[in-house]
Amino acid sequence: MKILTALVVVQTALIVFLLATITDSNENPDPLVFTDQHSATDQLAENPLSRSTPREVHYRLDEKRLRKIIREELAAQSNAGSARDTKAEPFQAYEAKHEVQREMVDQELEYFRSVGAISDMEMQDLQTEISKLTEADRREMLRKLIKAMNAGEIKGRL
Amino acid sequence: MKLRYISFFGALLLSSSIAIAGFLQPAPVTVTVNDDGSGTASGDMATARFADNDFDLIGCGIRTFDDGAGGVFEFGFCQAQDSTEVNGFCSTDRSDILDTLKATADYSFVTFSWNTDGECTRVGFSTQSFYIPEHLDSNLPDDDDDDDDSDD
Repeated sequence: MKILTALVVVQTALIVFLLATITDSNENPDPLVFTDQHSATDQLAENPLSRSTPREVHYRLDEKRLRKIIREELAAQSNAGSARDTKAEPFQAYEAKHEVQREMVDQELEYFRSVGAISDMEMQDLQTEISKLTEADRREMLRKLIKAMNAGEIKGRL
Repeated sequence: MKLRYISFFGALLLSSSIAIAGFLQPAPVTVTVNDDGSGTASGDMATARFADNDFDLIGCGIRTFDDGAGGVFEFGFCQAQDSTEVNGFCSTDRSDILDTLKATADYSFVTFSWNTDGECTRVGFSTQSFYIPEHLDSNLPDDDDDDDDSDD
């Protein structure tokens, strides 16, 4: 009976000790501890004459170093983002340029429609300008030109 | 004696004209435009060129441009106008139809069709002897008018 009581007391003491330890670690978090444990084979490769006791390497990262790493990562990400924006600028300028060209050709077609005729020289110039458009815009402008000629809205020759 | 000479030279003339013969099949330009804007056109180039009016025409062509971006833009077209000034035009950038357009030859018979968007849906050429003019003149029977448009 006395032995049982003693065991219970010891067990309770151990539980209390563990609880206290856990509570203490939550209040005062330990610095990060990384353990790099070399395997026995790595040890033998480095020092074939050594015994098999593993060697442990500890890396401690304090708060300052963590903050520094985070800042460096954020800076690297913001640089990558601005590089992407810089690449987007030429593409937007390319699209804007083609939009302007398309509008110009469209306005020329409207002009020839209002005049009702197009000379051979004007036709060649118009076709040259159409050739500078995107593939989809070329098709659209040629379609508009031919439809207008078939409808008799623009008299001329291809 | 005079009759002999006349007969001899008459026979000579007749034989020379018989040697320049062969089957002719002139095809004046016809253009048909449907209500929806689509249509067809056909005709042989010689008959169109030497028609007794200022309107008949038919033919096809190809245009190739430097697109300014390191590439090339190529498109083909056909056009026709008949004696009543009815027009028909079509264009295409399809490589298979462009290949057909490149097959045109002198004095070809041309036929083409287009859809409501003015895109060529059919193009055909025929290079036959019966489309070749006799003396660079119209294949149609001569009228009283003897105007001869010789290219040379």
